[in-house]
Amino acid sequence: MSNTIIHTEALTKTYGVGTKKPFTALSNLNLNVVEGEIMGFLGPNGAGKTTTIRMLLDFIRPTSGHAQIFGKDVHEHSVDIHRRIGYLPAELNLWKNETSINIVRYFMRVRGGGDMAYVKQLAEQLEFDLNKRIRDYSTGNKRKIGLILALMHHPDLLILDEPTSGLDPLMQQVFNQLMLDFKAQGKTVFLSSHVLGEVQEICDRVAILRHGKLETVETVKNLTHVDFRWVTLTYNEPVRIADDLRAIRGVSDLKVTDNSVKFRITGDFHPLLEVATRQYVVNMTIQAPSLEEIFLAFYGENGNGKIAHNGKVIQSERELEAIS
Amino acid sequence: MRGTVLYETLRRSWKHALYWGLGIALLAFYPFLMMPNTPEGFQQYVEIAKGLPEGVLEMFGMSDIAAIGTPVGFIGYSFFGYILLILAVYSVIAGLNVSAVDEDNGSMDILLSLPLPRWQIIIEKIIAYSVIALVIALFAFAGFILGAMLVPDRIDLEWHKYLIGALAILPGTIFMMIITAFIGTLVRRRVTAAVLAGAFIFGSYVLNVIGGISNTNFAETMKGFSFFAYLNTTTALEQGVTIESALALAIISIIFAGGAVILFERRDVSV
Repeated sequence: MSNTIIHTEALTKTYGVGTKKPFTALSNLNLNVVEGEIMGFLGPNGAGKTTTIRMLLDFIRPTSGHAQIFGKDVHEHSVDIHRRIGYLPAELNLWKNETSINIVRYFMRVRGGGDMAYVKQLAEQLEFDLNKRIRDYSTGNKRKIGLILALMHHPDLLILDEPTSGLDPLMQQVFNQLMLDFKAQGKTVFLSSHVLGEVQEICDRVAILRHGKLETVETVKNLTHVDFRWVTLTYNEPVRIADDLRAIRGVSDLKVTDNSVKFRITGDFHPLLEVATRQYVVNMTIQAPSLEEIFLAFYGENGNGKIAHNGKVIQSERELEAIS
Repeated sequence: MRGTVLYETLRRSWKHALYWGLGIALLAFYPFLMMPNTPEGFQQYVEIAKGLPEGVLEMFGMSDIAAIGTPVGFIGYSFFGYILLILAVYSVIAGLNVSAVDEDNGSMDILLSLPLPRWQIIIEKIIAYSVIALVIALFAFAGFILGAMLVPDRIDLEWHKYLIGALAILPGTIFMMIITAFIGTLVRRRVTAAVLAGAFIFGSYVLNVIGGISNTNFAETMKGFSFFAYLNTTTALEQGVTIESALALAIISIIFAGGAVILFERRDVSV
């Protein structure tokens, strides 16, 4: 049986306790992340992802409940735990006048040593210049130094808050490979994102958080099983084949606007392509569903579509589209 | 690792320490350049001082006008009369750097993710900025010595008196830095902390001035609450600060440093 690396029990954080407007950012989070897995922590902005991560790192203290990492309480054993953790914050703010190499050296001293050869290897992989000052880096490069700082001491657990934001597609592939290599060593990754598409290639499981509550923990396979795409076809003349498109298995929510037609499709694309090209196609765009849409589709299939938004129970995808 | 935050703070601050040190050394050196070379010259300064309003005299710590007519008193007023106000700028900047700056700009996040206890960050930074204050004081000592070498015939003071005088600026400088650090851990935001620390220092200065002008017992008592009162500008160069004053400031500084650690240990960081 795998070891539990992260364990939270009824973890709750309420800001402004004792004030007129207390705000619960996270409510009763029960979560287990096991050794050797990559777990995605997904949710829209403001869902409570960063609050959870900050409690795991003991930056902020829970209002109730508790969290353990490596079987130790995150508050009482924070120093021991941090020795074995690599962390990348959502907004990495380093000392602007320092060079990356100086910060790397500083962190090595704090950690009591380090592997400079590995740092250089990481920098090479990420195509990153360690000798520049932080203020001279682009947003993407700042993410890279963040990744290097998180990985440089060969941690057992990576906690990454929105690690892929700001990375270009090529670098995202490099990042994915780094994470898979890390996992191949039997190590654990806990990463947050608000875009499933960015992390689904590497995650074993995802936990979905909405409005401060854990809605589900599922394998990526299960979640993407209900995956669908939004397709928009643009023709060189008004759409004549709308009914043919509507008849394709897996196509739904079809809307025609002049020369364009937009619809949802689940399943294979081949039947669509056969029908779609009966008219001259000028353009075709395929859009991944939002996390909310996947989530709703997932629960819809299980006959449980009752999802609340701002206190209102949403019964259909149309309703969800309307509010978003 | 113990000492890493201390070392890093010193490594990053050495240039600032140098600039501050050179500036303070110049201020320590300058009065020797301006020192009259005849008794008449000194008397002219006394006459000018006599013509100034009492409040202005008190602002520069000139409680004993006659002393300005002596070389030691002249140097004392020309340096110690305002040096703490200048060093207040250093103290506030250093105090904010203990936690408020990192917390405000977000770099505290990455720092706290390292295997560092929170108390170590606060204590080692306070020690680092105290060491820098000591370096600045030593620069002041160098300024005194160079100045004395310039006019050996006008002032006759043993070198260790200059050292005692230079070190007299330390207790107040460190005290102001620790108070700012405490406020920084309390309010988290650097601008707010800077305003509050500035208000505290200015208030303390005003208490000292009013206490010196007014003859009421109340004003005298209130002056005792001003940390500026510990530095006697007339005698600072020769005698430094009294043991009682230094001890009182040291104890209060330690209490506030402890308070800063407790506050920082217990609360949410970078919310």
